[in-house]
Amino acid sequence: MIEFKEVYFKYPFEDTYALKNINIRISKGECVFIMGSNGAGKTTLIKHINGILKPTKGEVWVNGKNTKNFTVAELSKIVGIVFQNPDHQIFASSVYEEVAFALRNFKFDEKYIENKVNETLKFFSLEKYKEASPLFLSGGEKKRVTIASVVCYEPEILVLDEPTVGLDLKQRKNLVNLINELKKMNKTIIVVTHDIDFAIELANRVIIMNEGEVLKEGSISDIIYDEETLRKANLIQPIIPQVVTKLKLSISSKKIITIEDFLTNLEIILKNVKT
Amino acid sequence: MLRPENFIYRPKDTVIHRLDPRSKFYYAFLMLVLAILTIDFNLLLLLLLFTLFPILLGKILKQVLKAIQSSLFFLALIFIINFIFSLNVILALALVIRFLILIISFLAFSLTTSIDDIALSFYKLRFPYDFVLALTLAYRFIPTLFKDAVNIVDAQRSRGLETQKGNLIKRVKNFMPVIIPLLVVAIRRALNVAEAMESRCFGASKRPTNYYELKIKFGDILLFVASTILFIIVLAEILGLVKIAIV
Ligand SMILES: Nc1ncnc2c1ncn2[C@@H]1O[C@H](COP(=O)(O)OP(=O)(O)OP(=O)(O)O)[C@@H](O)[C@H]1O
Ligand SMILES: [Mg+2]
Repeated sequence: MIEFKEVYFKYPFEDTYALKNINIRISKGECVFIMGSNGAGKTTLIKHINGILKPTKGEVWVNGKNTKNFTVAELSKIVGIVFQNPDHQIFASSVYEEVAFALRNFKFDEKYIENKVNETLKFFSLEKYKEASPLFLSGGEKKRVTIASVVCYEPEILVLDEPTVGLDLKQRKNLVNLINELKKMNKTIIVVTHDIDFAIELANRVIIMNEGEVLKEGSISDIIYDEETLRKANLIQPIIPQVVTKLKLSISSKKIITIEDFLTNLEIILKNVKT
Repeated sequence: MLRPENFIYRPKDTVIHRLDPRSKFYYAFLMLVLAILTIDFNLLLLLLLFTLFPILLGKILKQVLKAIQSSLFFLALIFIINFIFSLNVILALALVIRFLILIISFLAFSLTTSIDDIALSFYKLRFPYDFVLALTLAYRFIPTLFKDAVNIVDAQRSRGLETQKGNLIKRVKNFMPVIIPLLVVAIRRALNVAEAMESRCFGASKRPTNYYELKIKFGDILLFVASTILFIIVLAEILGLVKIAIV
Protein backbone atom coordinates (compact mmCIF):
# COMPACT_ATOMS: atom_id res chain seq x y z
CA MET A 1 0.00 0.00 0.00
CA ILE A 2 1.15 3.50 -0.80
CA GLU A 3 0.19 6.50 1.24
CA PHE A 4 1.00 10.18 0.78
CA LYS A 5 0.29 12.15 3.95
CA GLU A 6 0.10 15.92 3.49
CA VAL A 7 3.09 15.91 1.20
CA TYR A 8 4.64 19.19 0.15
CA PHE A 9 7.70 19.29 -2.06
CA LYS A 10 9.91 22.12 -3.25
CA TYR A 11 12.88 21.65 -5.60
CA PRO A 12 16.04 23.24 -4.24
CA PHE A 13 16.47 26.84 -5.40
CA GLU A 14 12.84 27.09 -6.54
CA ASP A 15 10.46 29.49 -4.86
CA THR A 16 7.22 27.61 -5.44
CA TYR A 17 6.13 24.17 -4.33
CA ALA A 18 6.04 21.53 -7.05
CA LEU A 19 3.71 19.46 -4.83
CA LYS A 20 1.17 20.94 -2.44
CA ASN A 21 -0.75 19.08 0.21
CA ILE A 22 -0.90 15.71 -1.52
CA ASN A 23 -3.01 13.09 0.25
CA ILE A 24 -3.28 9.85 -1.67
CA ARG A 25 -3.88 6.24 -0.70
CA ILE A 26 -3.32 3.46 -3.17
CA SER A 27 -4.18 -0.07 -2.06
CA LYS A 28 -2.48 -3.25 -3.13
CA GLY A 29 -3.67 -4.49 -6.50
CA GLU A 30 -5.12 -1.17 -7.62
CA CYS A 31 -4.43 0.32 -11.03
CA VAL A 32 -4.33 4.07 -10.63
CA PHE A 33 -3.84 6.59 -13.42
CA ILE A 34 -2.35 10.00 -12.76
CA MET A 35 -3.15 12.65 -15.33
CA GLY A 36 -2.75 16.39 -15.72
CA SER A 37 -1.15 19.05 -17.87
CA ASN A 38 2.59 19.47 -18.50
CA GLY A 39 4.34 20.65 -15.39
CA ALA A 40 1.47 19.59 -13.11
CA GLY A 41 3.89 17.64 -10.93
CA LYS A 42 3.17 14.07 -12.01
CA THR A 43 6.79 13.02 -12.44
CA THR A 44 7.71 14.80 -9.21
CA LEU A 45 4.97 12.84 -7.44
CA ILE A 46 6.06 9.41 -8.63
CA LYS A 47 9.70 10.10 -7.79
CA HIS A 48 8.52 10.13 -4.17
CA ILE A 49 7.32 6.54 -4.30
CA ASN A 50 10.79 4.99 -4.37
CA GLY A 51 12.41 7.71 -2.34
CA ILE A 52 14.37 9.48 -5.10
CA LEU A 53 12.74 12.62 -3.78
CA LYS A 54 11.84 12.96 -0.13
CA PRO A 55 8.99 15.26 0.89
CA THR A 56 9.88 18.74 2.10
CA LYS A 57 6.94 18.41 4.49
CA GLY A 58 4.73 15.40 5.15
CA GLU A 59 5.39 11.69 4.72
CA VAL A 60 5.25 8.99 2.10
CA TRP A 61 4.68 5.42 3.20
CA VAL A 62 5.23 2.38 1.00
CA ASN A 63 4.24 -1.02 2.36
CA GLY A 64 4.49 0.28 5.90
CA LYS A 65 7.89 1.87 5.29
CA ASN A 66 8.43 5.59 5.63
CA THR A 67 10.49 6.45 2.54
CA LYS A 68 12.51 8.87 4.65
CA ASN A 69 14.21 5.96 6.39
CA PHE A 70 15.10 3.81 3.38
CA THR A 71 17.51 4.11 0.48
CA VAL A 72 16.39 4.26 -3.13
CA ALA A 73 17.97 0.86 -3.75
CA GLU A 74 15.98 -0.73 -0.94
CA LEU A 75 12.69 0.81 -2.06
CA SER A 76 13.33 0.13 -5.74
CA LYS A 77 13.18 -3.57 -5.12
CA ILE A 78 9.52 -3.09 -4.20
CA VAL A 79 8.79 -0.14 -6.50
CA GLY A 80 9.85 -0.32 -10.15
CA ILE A 81 9.69 2.98 -11.99
CA VAL A 82 9.95 3.32 -15.75
CA PHE A 83 10.76 6.93 -16.56
CA GLN A 84 9.53 9.17 -19.33
CA ASN A 85 12.67 9.43 -21.41
CA PRO A 86 14.35 6.16 -22.47
CA ASP A 87 17.52 8.06 -23.37
CA HIS A 88 17.98 8.81 -19.70
CA GLN A 89 18.64 5.21 -18.82
CA ILE A 90 19.83 3.28 -21.86
CA PHE A 91 23.57 2.67 -21.65
CA ALA A 92 24.43 -1.00 -22.01
CA SER A 93 26.22 -2.53 -24.99
CA SER A 94 23.34 -4.85 -25.82
CA VAL A 95 19.61 -5.02 -25.25
CA TYR A 96 20.18 -8.18 -23.21
CA GLU A 97 22.58 -6.39 -20.86
CA GLU A 98 20.27 -3.41 -20.57
CA VAL A 99 17.38 -5.59 -19.45
CA ALA A 100 19.63 -7.60 -17.13
CA PHE A 101 20.98 -4.46 -15.43
CA ALA A 102 18.47 -4.22 -12.60
CA LEU A 103 18.49 -7.98 -12.03
CA ARG A 104 22.27 -7.87 -11.63
CA ASN A 105 22.07 -4.94 -9.23
CA PHE A 106 19.56 -6.83 -7.13
CA LYS A 107 21.95 -9.81 -7.14
CA PHE A 108 19.77 -12.48 -8.71
CA ASP A 109 21.75 -15.51 -9.84
CA GLU A 110 22.95 -15.70 -13.43
CA LYS A 111 20.77 -18.67 -14.41
CA TYR A 112 17.62 -16.92 -13.20
CA ILE A 113 18.67 -13.71 -14.97
CA GLU A 114 19.14 -15.51 -18.27
CA ASN A 115 15.71 -17.13 -18.14
CA LYS A 116 13.99 -13.99 -16.98
CA VAL A 117 15.61 -11.72 -19.57
CA ASN A 118 14.87 -14.07 -22.44
CA GLU A 119 11.27 -14.41 -21.35
CA THR A 120 10.85 -10.65 -21.04
CA LEU A 121 12.50 -9.94 -24.39
CA LYS A 122 10.14 -12.39 -26.02
CA PHE A 123 7.12 -10.79 -24.45
CA PHE A 124 8.12 -7.37 -25.78
CA SER A 125 9.06 -8.78 -29.24
CA LEU A 126 12.64 -7.75 -28.71
CA GLU A 127 14.42 -11.12 -29.11
CA LYS A 128 15.80 -10.19 -32.50
CA TYR A 129 17.60 -7.21 -30.94
CA LYS A 130 19.02 -9.26 -28.08
CA GLU A 131 22.63 -8.64 -29.16
CA ALA A 132 22.02 -5.25 -30.79
CA SER A 133 22.99 -1.96 -29.21
CA PRO A 134 19.94 -0.42 -27.53
CA LEU A 135 21.21 3.08 -28.37
CA PHE A 136 20.25 2.80 -32.01
CA LEU A 137 16.77 1.35 -31.69
CA SER A 138 13.72 3.36 -32.71
CA GLY A 139 11.83 5.45 -30.15
CA GLY A 140 9.12 2.85 -29.51
CA GLU A 141 11.64 0.02 -29.32
CA LYS A 142 13.71 1.92 -26.78
CA LYS A 143 10.56 2.53 -24.77
CA ARG A 144 9.90 -1.20 -24.74
CA VAL A 145 13.45 -1.95 -23.65
CA THR A 146 13.07 0.39 -20.69
CA ILE A 147 9.73 -1.10 -19.69
CA ALA A 148 11.21 -4.60 -20.05
CA SER A 149 14.22 -3.65 -17.95
CA VAL A 150 11.96 -2.88 -14.98
CA VAL A 151 9.16 -5.39 -15.47
CA CYS A 152 11.72 -8.22 -15.55
CA TYR A 153 12.54 -8.01 -11.86
CA GLU A 154 8.85 -8.23 -10.99
CA PRO A 155 8.50 -5.36 -8.53
CA GLU A 156 5.41 -5.47 -6.39
CA ILE A 157 4.52 -1.92 -7.40
CA LEU A 158 5.04 -0.82 -10.99
CA VAL A 159 5.09 2.85 -11.94
CA LEU A 160 5.05 3.86 -15.59
CA ASP A 161 5.64 7.47 -16.70
CA GLU A 162 4.10 8.07 -20.13
CA PRO A 163 4.43 4.46 -21.27
CA THR A 164 2.42 4.76 -24.47
CA VAL A 165 4.41 7.57 -26.08
CA GLY A 166 5.84 6.32 -29.37
CA LEU A 167 4.27 2.86 -29.23
CA ASP A 168 2.37 1.63 -32.28
CA LEU A 169 -1.04 0.03 -32.00
CA LYS A 170 0.27 -3.51 -31.65
CA GLN A 171 2.76 -2.61 -28.93
CA ARG A 172 0.17 -0.54 -27.16
CA LYS A 173 -2.21 -3.52 -27.09
CA ASN A 174 0.68 -5.59 -25.83
CA LEU A 175 1.18 -3.13 -23.00
CA VAL A 176 -2.52 -3.21 -22.13
CA ASN A 177 -2.29 -7.02 -21.98
CA LEU A 178 0.78 -6.85 -19.80
CA ILE A 179 -0.87 -4.49 -17.35
CA ASN A 180 -3.98 -6.68 -17.27
CA GLU A 181 -1.76 -9.68 -16.50
CA LEU A 182 -0.07 -7.79 -13.71
CA LYS A 183 -3.43 -6.72 -12.33
CA LYS A 184 -4.45 -10.36 -12.18
CA MET A 185 -1.27 -11.07 -10.23
CA ASN A 186 -2.48 -8.46 -7.73
CA LYS A 187 0.38 -6.06 -8.44
CA THR A 188 -0.13 -2.38 -7.78
CA ILE A 189 0.16 -0.29 -10.91
CA ILE A 190 0.49 3.45 -11.28
CA VAL A 191 0.47 5.00 -14.72
CA VAL A 192 1.18 8.62 -15.62
CA THR A 193 -0.25 9.54 -19.00
CA HIS A 194 -1.96 12.11 -21.19
CA ASP A 195 -3.64 9.27 -23.05
CA ILE A 196 -7.19 9.14 -21.75
CA ASP A 197 -8.18 6.17 -23.92
CA PHE A 198 -5.43 4.19 -22.26
CA ALA A 199 -6.90 5.13 -18.89
CA ILE A 200 -10.37 4.07 -20.03
CA GLU A 201 -9.02 0.63 -20.87
CA LEU A 202 -7.22 0.04 -17.57
CA ALA A 203 -7.84 2.47 -14.74
CA ASN A 204 -9.55 1.50 -11.49
CA ARG A 205 -9.16 5.06 -10.36
CA VAL A 206 -7.94 8.33 -11.84
CA ILE A 207 -6.15 11.15 -10.07
CA ILE A 208 -6.10 14.48 -11.87
CA MET A 209 -3.32 16.86 -10.93
CA ASN A 210 -3.02 20.55 -11.60
CA GLU A 211 -0.28 22.94 -10.50
CA GLY A 212 1.07 20.56 -7.89
CA GLU A 213 -2.27 19.74 -6.33
CA VAL A 214 -4.76 16.92 -6.65
CA LEU A 215 -7.61 18.50 -8.57
CA LYS A 216 -9.93 15.53 -8.62
CA GLU A 217 -9.91 11.87 -7.75
CA GLY A 218 -12.49 9.40 -9.00
CA SER A 219 -13.48 6.62 -11.32
CA ILE A 220 -12.84 7.03 -15.01
CA SER A 221 -16.52 7.83 -15.63
CA ASP A 222 -16.42 10.57 -13.00
CA ILE A 223 -13.56 12.11 -14.91
CA ILE A 224 -14.65 11.80 -18.52
CA TYR A 225 -17.99 13.45 -17.82
CA ASP A 226 -16.42 16.32 -15.85
CA GLU A 227 -15.75 18.84 -18.57
CA GLU A 228 -14.36 21.48 -16.26
CA THR A 229 -11.74 19.20 -14.75
CA LEU A 230 -10.76 17.93 -18.17
CA ARG A 231 -10.32 21.47 -19.39
CA LYS A 232 -8.14 22.39 -16.42
CA ALA A 233 -6.00 19.31 -16.95
CA ASN A 234 -5.73 19.98 -20.69
CA LEU A 235 -7.27 16.64 -21.57
CA ILE A 236 -9.57 16.01 -24.52
CA GLN A 237 -12.95 14.62 -23.63
CA PRO A 238 -13.29 11.29 -25.44
CA ILE A 239 -15.82 11.15 -28.24
CA ILE A 240 -18.47 8.97 -26.55
CA PRO A 241 -18.93 11.19 -23.47
CA GLN A 242 -18.91 14.17 -25.82
CA VAL A 243 -21.77 12.73 -27.84
CA VAL A 244 -23.68 11.61 -24.76
CA THR A 245 -23.31 15.03 -23.15
CA LYS A 246 -24.54 16.76 -26.31
CA LEU A 247 -27.59 14.48 -26.35
CA LYS A 248 -28.63 15.82 -22.93
CA LEU A 249 -30.08 12.56 -21.60
CA SER A 250 -32.68 12.64 -18.86
CA ILE A 251 -31.06 9.63 -17.15
CA SER A 252 -27.64 9.28 -15.62
CA SER A 253 -25.13 8.68 -18.39
CA LYS A 254 -22.06 7.90 -16.32
CA LYS A 255 -22.02 4.20 -17.17
CA ILE A 256 -21.57 4.92 -20.86
CA ILE A 257 -17.84 5.01 -21.46
CA THR A 258 -16.92 2.98 -24.51
CA ILE A 259 -18.49 2.51 -27.93
CA GLU A 260 -19.70 -0.90 -26.75
CA ASP A 261 -21.49 0.69 -23.81
CA PHE A 262 -23.03 3.17 -26.20
CA LEU A 263 -24.25 0.55 -28.64
CA THR A 264 -25.64 -1.86 -26.04
CA ASN A 265 -27.51 0.99 -24.42
CA LEU A 266 -28.56 2.59 -27.67
CA GLU A 267 -32.24 1.88 -27.19
CA ILE A 268 -32.33 3.39 -23.71
CA ILE A 269 -30.29 6.34 -24.88
CA LEU A 270 -32.58 7.12 -27.76
CA LYS A 271 -35.64 6.86 -25.51
CA ASN A 272 -34.20 9.37 -23.07
CA VAL A 273 -32.97 12.08 -25.38
CA LYS A 274 -34.49 15.38 -24.31
CA THR A 275 -36.02 17.25 -27.16
CA MET B 1 28.93 20.21 -4.04
CA LEU B 2 29.25 22.73 -6.85
CA ARG B 3 25.74 23.45 -8.02
CA PRO B 4 25.46 25.26 -11.34
CA GLU B 5 22.34 27.08 -10.19
CA ASN B 6 24.54 29.26 -8.03
CA PHE B 7 26.64 30.39 -10.96
CA ILE B 8 23.93 30.97 -13.49
CA TYR B 9 22.37 34.23 -14.58
CA ARG B 10 18.78 34.89 -13.66
CA PRO B 11 16.94 37.85 -15.13
CA LYS B 12 16.29 40.63 -12.63
CA ASP B 13 15.66 44.31 -13.08
CA THR B 14 18.42 46.13 -11.19
CA VAL B 15 20.94 48.86 -11.99
CA ILE B 16 23.67 46.27 -12.30
CA HIS B 17 21.71 43.95 -14.57
CA ARG B 18 20.98 46.83 -16.93
CA LEU B 19 24.64 47.85 -17.30
CA ASP B 20 26.53 47.20 -20.51
CA PRO B 21 28.36 43.86 -20.29
CA ARG B 22 31.58 45.52 -21.46
CA SER B 23 31.71 47.93 -18.55
CA LYS B 24 30.90 45.13 -16.11
CA PHE B 25 33.60 43.02 -17.63
CA TYR B 26 36.05 45.91 -17.39
CA TYR B 27 35.23 46.25 -13.70
CA ALA B 28 35.56 42.52 -12.98
CA PHE B 29 38.79 42.37 -14.93
CA LEU B 30 40.37 45.29 -13.03
CA MET B 31 39.38 43.77 -9.70
CA LEU B 32 40.95 40.52 -10.78
CA VAL B 33 44.19 42.19 -11.85
CA LEU B 34 44.41 44.18 -8.64
CA ALA B 35 43.71 41.17 -6.46
CA ILE B 36 46.51 39.32 -8.16
CA LEU B 37 48.94 42.23 -8.08
CA THR B 38 48.77 42.82 -4.36
CA ILE B 39 49.21 40.59 -1.37
CA ASP B 40 48.78 43.38 1.13
CA PHE B 41 46.09 42.49 3.66
CA ASN B 42 44.71 46.05 3.97
CA LEU B 43 44.46 46.53 0.25
CA LEU B 44 42.77 43.21 -0.30
CA LEU B 45 40.27 44.03 2.41
CA LEU B 46 39.53 47.32 0.69
CA LEU B 47 39.02 45.55 -2.62
CA LEU B 48 36.74 43.03 -0.97
CA LEU B 49 34.68 45.92 0.34
CA PHE B 50 34.37 47.27 -3.18
CA THR B 51 33.20 43.96 -4.59
CA LEU B 52 30.21 44.18 -2.27
CA PHE B 53 28.59 47.15 -4.06
CA PRO B 54 27.58 45.36 -7.26
CA ILE B 55 26.45 42.34 -5.22
CA LEU B 56 24.11 44.42 -3.08
CA LEU B 57 22.91 46.68 -5.90
CA GLY B 58 22.39 43.67 -8.16
CA LYS B 59 20.43 41.81 -5.43
CA ILE B 60 22.47 38.63 -5.85
CA LEU B 61 23.75 38.34 -2.29
CA LYS B 62 21.92 35.07 -1.67
CA GLN B 63 23.37 33.35 -4.72
CA VAL B 64 26.84 34.68 -3.97
CA LEU B 65 26.68 33.40 -0.40
CA LYS B 66 25.60 29.98 -1.63
CA ALA B 67 28.47 29.94 -4.11
CA ILE B 68 30.93 30.91 -1.38
CA GLN B 69 29.45 28.23 0.81
CA SER B 70 30.11 25.61 -1.85
CA SER B 71 33.72 26.79 -2.16
CA LEU B 72 34.31 26.81 1.59
CA PHE B 73 36.41 23.70 1.22
CA PHE B 74 38.82 25.42 -1.18
CA LEU B 75 38.98 28.47 1.02
CA ALA B 76 39.84 26.32 4.01
CA LEU B 77 42.43 24.48 1.95
CA ILE B 78 44.05 27.73 0.83
CA PHE B 79 44.19 28.95 4.39
CA ILE B 80 45.61 25.75 5.84
CA ILE B 81 48.25 25.16 3.19
CA ASN B 82 49.48 28.73 3.28
CA PHE B 83 49.48 28.79 7.02
CA ILE B 84 51.50 25.61 7.23
CA PHE B 85 54.09 26.91 4.79
CA SER B 86 54.37 30.48 6.06
CA LEU B 87 53.14 30.22 9.66
CA ASN B 88 51.71 33.65 9.01
CA VAL B 89 48.00 34.05 9.76
CA ILE B 90 47.73 37.44 8.06
CA LEU B 91 49.26 36.15 4.85
CA ALA B 92 47.06 33.07 4.82
CA LEU B 93 44.02 35.26 5.41
CA ALA B 94 45.11 37.64 2.66
CA LEU B 95 45.26 34.78 0.21
CA VAL B 96 41.79 33.65 1.24
CA ILE B 97 40.52 37.18 0.68
CA ARG B 98 42.21 37.29 -2.70
CA PHE B 99 40.40 34.12 -3.68
CA LEU B 100 37.13 35.58 -2.40
CA ILE B 101 37.64 38.71 -4.51
CA LEU B 102 38.21 36.57 -7.57
CA ILE B 103 35.02 34.58 -6.94
CA ILE B 104 32.88 37.55 -6.06
CA SER B 105 33.92 39.78 -8.92
CA PHE B 106 33.50 36.93 -11.35
CA LEU B 107 30.02 36.28 -9.94
CA ALA B 108 29.13 39.98 -10.04
CA PHE B 109 29.66 39.74 -13.77
CA SER B 110 28.30 36.30 -14.53
CA LEU B 111 25.22 36.44 -12.33
CA THR B 112 24.03 39.76 -13.71
CA THR B 113 24.86 39.38 -17.38
CA SER B 114 22.83 37.22 -19.71
CA ILE B 115 24.80 35.04 -22.08
CA ASP B 116 23.15 36.84 -24.97
CA ASP B 117 24.66 40.11 -23.80
CA ILE B 118 28.07 38.51 -23.35
CA ALA B 119 27.89 36.98 -26.81
CA LEU B 120 26.76 40.26 -28.29
CA SER B 121 29.76 42.02 -26.75
CA PHE B 122 32.11 39.50 -28.31
CA TYR B 123 30.33 39.96 -31.61
CA LYS B 124 30.70 43.74 -31.38
CA LEU B 125 34.39 43.21 -30.69
CA ARG B 126 34.54 41.60 -34.15
CA PHE B 127 34.78 37.99 -33.00
CA PRO B 128 33.54 35.54 -35.66
CA TYR B 129 29.86 34.69 -35.54
CA ASP B 130 30.48 30.93 -35.28
CA PHE B 131 32.58 31.44 -32.18
CA VAL B 132 29.98 33.66 -30.57
CA LEU B 133 27.21 31.19 -31.30
CA ALA B 134 29.19 28.23 -30.00
CA LEU B 135 29.77 30.17 -26.80
CA THR B 136 26.07 30.91 -26.39
CA LEU B 137 25.04 27.34 -27.05
CA ALA B 138 27.63 25.83 -24.73
CA TYR B 139 26.51 28.09 -21.94
CA ARG B 140 22.84 27.58 -22.64
CA PHE B 141 23.09 23.82 -22.35
CA ILE B 142 24.74 23.73 -18.93
CA PRO B 143 21.46 23.74 -17.00
CA THR B 144 19.88 21.33 -19.46
CA LEU B 145 22.79 18.99 -19.12
CA PHE B 146 22.54 19.24 -15.36
CA LYS B 147 18.83 18.33 -15.47
CA ASP B 148 19.67 15.39 -17.73
CA ALA B 149 22.30 14.22 -15.29
CA VAL B 150 19.81 14.35 -12.41
CA ASN B 151 17.22 12.40 -14.37
CA ILE B 152 19.77 9.81 -15.46
CA VAL B 153 21.01 9.25 -11.92
CA ASP B 154 17.40 8.94 -10.77
CA ALA B 155 16.56 6.41 -13.47
CA GLN B 156 19.61 4.24 -12.76
CA ARG B 157 19.21 4.39 -9.00
CA SER B 158 15.63 3.24 -9.51
CA ARG B 159 17.05 0.16 -11.15
CA GLY B 160 19.18 -0.56 -8.14
CA LEU B 161 22.41 1.20 -9.12
CA GLU B 162 24.52 1.87 -6.06
CA THR B 163 26.50 5.10 -6.41
CA GLN B 164 27.63 5.64 -2.86
CA LYS B 165 29.20 2.38 -1.76
CA GLY B 166 32.18 0.31 -2.85
CA ASN B 167 35.87 0.82 -3.59
CA LEU B 168 37.23 3.16 -6.24
CA ILE B 169 37.17 0.66 -9.14
CA LYS B 170 33.64 -0.32 -8.30
CA ARG B 171 32.55 3.28 -8.10
CA VAL B 172 34.09 4.12 -11.46
CA LYS B 173 32.37 1.09 -12.93
CA ASN B 174 29.10 2.15 -11.38
CA PHE B 175 29.55 5.54 -12.98
CA MET B 176 29.31 4.18 -16.52
CA PRO B 177 25.50 3.80 -16.50
CA VAL B 178 25.37 7.54 -15.80
CA ILE B 179 28.15 8.81 -18.05
CA ILE B 180 27.11 6.94 -21.18
CA PRO B 181 23.52 8.18 -21.39
CA LEU B 182 24.73 11.66 -20.50
CA LEU B 183 27.18 11.69 -23.41
CA VAL B 184 24.67 10.15 -25.77
CA VAL B 185 22.00 12.66 -24.84
CA ALA B 186 24.45 15.56 -25.22
CA ILE B 187 25.68 14.40 -28.62
CA ARG B 188 22.15 13.72 -29.85
CA ARG B 189 21.10 17.17 -28.73
CA ALA B 190 24.06 18.79 -30.46
CA LEU B 191 23.19 17.02 -33.70
CA ASN B 192 19.56 18.04 -33.38
CA VAL B 193 20.50 21.64 -32.75
CA ALA B 194 22.82 21.61 -35.76
CA GLU B 195 20.06 20.26 -37.98
CA ALA B 196 17.53 22.73 -36.64
CA MET B 197 19.96 25.59 -37.20
CA GLU B 198 20.83 24.58 -40.70
CA SER B 199 17.19 24.24 -41.60
CA ARG B 200 16.85 27.86 -40.53
CA CYS B 201 19.60 29.03 -42.86
CA PHE B 202 22.50 29.11 -40.44
CA GLY B 203 25.68 29.91 -42.35
CA ALA B 204 23.91 31.84 -45.09
CA SER B 205 25.45 35.08 -43.89
CA LYS B 206 28.87 35.63 -42.35
CA ARG B 207 27.74 38.57 -40.20
CA PRO B 208 24.02 38.30 -39.50
CA THR B 209 22.21 41.26 -37.97
CA ASN B 210 21.23 41.47 -34.30
CA TYR B 211 17.88 42.05 -32.70
CA TYR B 212 19.34 43.82 -29.69
CA GLU B 213 21.93 46.55 -29.71
CA LEU B 214 24.33 47.46 -26.91
CA LYS B 215 24.28 51.04 -25.69
CA ILE B 216 26.65 52.77 -23.33
CA LYS B 217 24.59 54.56 -20.69
CA PHE B 218 25.36 56.94 -17.83
CA GLY B 219 25.75 54.07 -15.34
CA ASP B 220 28.36 52.46 -17.56
CA ILE B 221 30.44 55.60 -17.70
CA LEU B 222 30.14 55.92 -13.94
CA LEU B 223 31.28 52.34 -13.39
CA PHE B 224 34.07 52.76 -15.91
CA VAL B 225 35.36 55.93 -14.24
CA ALA B 226 34.96 54.57 -10.71
CA SER B 227 36.78 51.34 -11.41
CA THR B 228 39.54 53.17 -13.25
CA ILE B 229 40.03 55.53 -10.32
CA LEU B 230 40.05 52.62 -7.90
CA PHE B 231 42.55 50.87 -10.11
CA ILE B 232 44.87 53.87 -10.23
CA ILE B 233 44.71 54.44 -6.48
CA VAL B 234 45.37 50.83 -5.62
CA LEU B 235 48.12 50.63 -8.20
CA ALA B 236 49.67 53.74 -6.71
CA GLU B 237 49.57 52.14 -3.31
CA ILE B 238 51.09 48.94 -4.62
CA LEU B 239 53.89 50.93 -6.20
CA GLY B 240 54.35 52.72 -2.86
CA LEU B 241 53.25 56.16 -4.10
CA VAL B 242 50.42 56.55 -1.57
CA LYS B 243 49.51 54.90 1.72
CA ILE B 244 46.08 53.49 2.59
CA ALA B 245 45.31 52.05 6.00
CA ILE B 246 42.11 50.41 7.15
CA VAL B 247 43.13 47.84 9.70
N1 LIG C 1 14.93 19.09 -11.27
C1 LIG C 1 14.08 20.12 -11.17
N2 LIG C 1 14.48 21.29 -10.62
C2 LIG C 1 13.62 22.32 -10.50
N3 LIG C 1 12.36 22.30 -10.91
C3 LIG C 1 11.88 21.18 -11.47
C4 LIG C 1 12.72 20.02 -11.64
N4 LIG C 1 11.99 19.06 -12.23
C5 LIG C 1 10.76 19.59 -12.42
N5 LIG C 1 10.68 20.84 -11.97
C6 LIG C 1 9.50 21.73 -11.98
O1 LIG C 1 8.47 21.14 -11.21
C7 LIG C 1 7.21 21.25 -11.86
C8 LIG C 1 6.58 19.87 -12.06
O2 LIG C 1 7.37 19.14 -12.98
P1 LIG C 1 7.06 17.64 -13.37
O3 LIG C 1 8.19 17.16 -14.19
O4 LIG C 1 6.71 16.88 -12.15
O5 LIG C 1 5.76 17.80 -14.28
P2 LIG C 1 4.95 16.69 -15.08
O6 LIG C 1 3.56 16.72 -14.56
O7 LIG C 1 5.66 15.39 -15.03
O8 LIG C 1 4.95 17.27 -16.56
P3 LIG C 1 5.06 16.52 -17.98
O9 LIG C 1 3.66 16.17 -18.38
O10 LIG C 1 5.61 17.57 -18.87
O11 LIG C 1 5.95 15.35 -17.82
C9 LIG C 1 7.47 22.00 -13.15
O12 LIG C 1 7.12 23.34 -12.95
C10 LIG C 1 8.95 21.85 -13.39
O13 LIG C 1 9.46 22.99 -14.04
MG1 LIG D 1 6.58 14.17 -16.40
